[in-house]
Amino acid sequence: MQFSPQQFKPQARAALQDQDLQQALSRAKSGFIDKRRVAVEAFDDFEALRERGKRIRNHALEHMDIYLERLEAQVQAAGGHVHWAEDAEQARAIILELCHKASAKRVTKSKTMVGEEIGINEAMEADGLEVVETDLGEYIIQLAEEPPSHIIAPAIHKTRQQITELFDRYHHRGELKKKLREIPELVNEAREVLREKFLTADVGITGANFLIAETGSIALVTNEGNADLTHTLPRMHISISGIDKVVPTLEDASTLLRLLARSATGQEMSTYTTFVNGPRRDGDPDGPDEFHLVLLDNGRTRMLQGQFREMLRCIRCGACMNHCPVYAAVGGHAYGWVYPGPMGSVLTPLIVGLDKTRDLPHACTLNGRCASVCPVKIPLPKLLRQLRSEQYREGLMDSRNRLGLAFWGFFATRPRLYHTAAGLAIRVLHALSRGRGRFRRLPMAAGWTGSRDLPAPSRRTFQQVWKQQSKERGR
Amino acid sequence: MTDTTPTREKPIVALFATCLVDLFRPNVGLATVRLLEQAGFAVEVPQQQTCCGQPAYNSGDDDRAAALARQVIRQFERYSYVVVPSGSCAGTIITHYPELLRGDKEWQDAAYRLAERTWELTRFLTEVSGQQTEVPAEYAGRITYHDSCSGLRELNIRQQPRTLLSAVKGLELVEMEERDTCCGFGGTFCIKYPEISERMVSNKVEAIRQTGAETLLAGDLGCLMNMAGRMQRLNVPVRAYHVAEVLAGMTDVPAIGEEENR
Amino acid sequence: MSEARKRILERVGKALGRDDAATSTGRVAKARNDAYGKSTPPRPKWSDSTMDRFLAKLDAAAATHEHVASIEGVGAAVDAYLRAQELPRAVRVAEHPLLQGAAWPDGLEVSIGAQHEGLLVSVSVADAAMAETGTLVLCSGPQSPTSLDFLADHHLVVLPADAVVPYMEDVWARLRERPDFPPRSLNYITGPSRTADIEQTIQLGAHGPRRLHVLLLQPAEAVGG
Ligand code: SF4
Repeated sequence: MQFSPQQFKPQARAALQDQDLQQALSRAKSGFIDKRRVAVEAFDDFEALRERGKRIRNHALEHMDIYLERLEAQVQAAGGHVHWAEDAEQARAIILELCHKASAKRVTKSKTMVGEEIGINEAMEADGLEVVETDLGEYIIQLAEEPPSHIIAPAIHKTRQQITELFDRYHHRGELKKKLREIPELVNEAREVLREKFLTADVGITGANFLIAETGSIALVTNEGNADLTHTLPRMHISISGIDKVVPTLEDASTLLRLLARSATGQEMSTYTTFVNGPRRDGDPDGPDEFHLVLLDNGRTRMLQGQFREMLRCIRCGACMNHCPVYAAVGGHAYGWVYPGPMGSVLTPLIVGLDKTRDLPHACTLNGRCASVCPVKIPLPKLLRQLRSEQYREGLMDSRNRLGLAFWGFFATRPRLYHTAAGLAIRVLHALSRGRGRFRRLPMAAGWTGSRDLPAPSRRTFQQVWKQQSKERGR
Repeated sequence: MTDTTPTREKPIVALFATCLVDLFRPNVGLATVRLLEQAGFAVEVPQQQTCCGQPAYNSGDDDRAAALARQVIRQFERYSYVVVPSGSCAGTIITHYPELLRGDKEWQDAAYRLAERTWELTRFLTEVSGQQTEVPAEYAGRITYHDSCSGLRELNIRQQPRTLLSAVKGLELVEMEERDTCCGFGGTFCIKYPEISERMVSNKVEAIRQTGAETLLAGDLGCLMNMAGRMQRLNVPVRAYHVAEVLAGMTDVPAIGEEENR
Repeated sequence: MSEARKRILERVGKALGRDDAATSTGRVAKARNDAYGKSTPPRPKWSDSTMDRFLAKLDAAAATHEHVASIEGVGAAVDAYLRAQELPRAVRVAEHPLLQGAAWPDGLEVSIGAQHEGLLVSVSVADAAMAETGTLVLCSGPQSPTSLDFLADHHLVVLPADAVVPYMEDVWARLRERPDFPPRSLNYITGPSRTADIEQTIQLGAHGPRRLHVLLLQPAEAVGG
């Protein structure tokens, strides 16, 4: 998995200049937003649903240890195995070992963000396994050798032409003459290619949308049906999940599913929602012989402890990035890791460390639109600001900003001095503007005037004007 | 001319002008005073006010932000009403001060008290003064209105300015696409990430242009300066005013960023 | 038990400031009740009958349906579907007791069991359905191979009308009574397989069935009423 959150600025710049990407992003944006809006408006009291979702997730987090143990017991009762991994390395080791045990050659995967988080594909490929992503979007970016750029629609940044080229290269050895193929044709071709893989895979790896403590169930949500083919056909099914995904009951999962589908894609229910319980049973005509659940910590217990617990409520719906104007401008790759957009800007620093992700908490206007659509009411701007505050405390803010703040703060906390200095500065600036009302260029405000004019101040400050007027009005 | 003699009966409102208005556009402050006086209040402007501390707060510099919060609380705690012609500065006082000062019970209580009495201008005019039907201003032309983010999402300001504007004679409101999408200002964001900000504000300008409006209004000077500056750079002939200026009938001054001797 | 398990659970306990007393099952249940557990969850509402809602949502999910008056009629209905779709007259059928009552017409090739090579059309039986979203519920088991629900191009599902309930919670209540609950794979299916991964355009038949057709088993008198 590519890891370059430090490169946010250059990556964002490149993204803004990438015409194909910009075309793909502008197509995607309104689609997601409109569909969600329609679904939310059709629901009687979506606010109450969000509130319930928040409470369910809070309760589950507050009793995480109990629910995890219950979950484990139920998975085992159903004949499955539970593995615990403190970090990515342990998780990779567990999965590789299981693959060896199964004498696996070919592994099918359905989309799992935790899988991306631990870099499982690279590890398996390095181990000589053939890894096949089966979610169409993931398959496309696997061919392109790129990371996902969206947690729900991983290939959202790809145009049809680019996909035509990829399929030509990998399915037709570059011998196809067509530049642009129709969508049904492309989907059918992928279906055929992947069908063969499904039927011959030794191990199937899925994520988990929710873990249900009561029954030991793994909830899997897709529209394509690829998760079901992944867990039903191979000899072994491995599910990887963060420990944060646990919820108490099937009824709780129902509420969360109502939130998830509407928030993610504007559907009322995704096409396939499946609850998996252990391996194939006696008399079952199909299903895997073994079922393994890998539970991953990787920083989550740390989040549980501190002021960032709320982030663990996240159900990975992607609504925050769909509504984020910064994401809409630069796309997912600019963020440099698995989780893009607002949720990623909070999660990534918490998982990999603030010092490796300096830009992420700042690349946001704190406009709050993400929080207003988050199905479990995560106060994303507040958490981003808290991260900034931690950065500041730990001396991770660049010295120019720090100096600027100190300079401004020095005056702002000394009102008398402030008003004298402001009065003077305003006078000078006004004189410099020579009545044109604005600046085309101003060396000390180049960040501003690079792309817009700077309105010039009037001759006097409001305080000065007010003082004079008050005098004239005899107060 | 309205009677400007403060009388004992008139309730007093303290104006928190905001640093941007103080430095860049006094007319917004004057317009706010006029609106408040027309609504039957006496206005005081505490002289020591500087800034609400938002730049420090949003940068994660909590100590400096807290110092400014305490300064603002001290300066304004004796008033029953504090009115701010900016959703984002009002939002800072109302929603963030108590959070920022949570480490100190006394200060936090004081922050809550101030929060209760602090109002963004359009909310104050519609919800407290209750005189929204008597807005006497005139403004001939089509306008479009940008919902600034903090006001919209922290303080639920959406209908209030529209209600007030609907009483302005000659004014026609045309809503833009994605009227509640951020304009890319974001305080220091627009300077730290100028390219991203440029894309955001360009999208905004396009939405404004498509309405065919001649004037852009909003309730926050920061956003207005950002959008006006971009429109001027792109030679989009739309003028920008703060909503208070139109409501108070004080658009006889150049629009934001406009030449003085137009 | 593994070291990792011990350490993770310890860290969780520490993060939550656990004392042992808090961990009793009764307390947890009470905490859940206090937080939200006692109230009915917010759910979609509708004024039509449960069946009308179900059929409307089924339709909205791009599935099709027809009424079949009795289980004997299923055979003919399946045959008619194949002909209308210009498909070979061959189906793979789940080994479900209900389907043993289907009268399969002559000339229709019927094989029984899980997936097989070249699977094109499958017939299975739904265990429940919910009106909320027009969703079919199928539980894996000897009588219901999961592979039939995902590998066929055309998935035909027999649904007894009395298995349609309003909400997901009602599905749980119904299924919880079964001795083998939960099954290995419990599938909620809402329309045919689809993807929007290429240019946000919805395309049916991604990996699973291209068509989902419901044979609603409803005695004639009930349809009229
Ligand atoms: S933070 Fe909220 S909106 Fe964003 S992915 Fe998570 S649940 Fe969805």
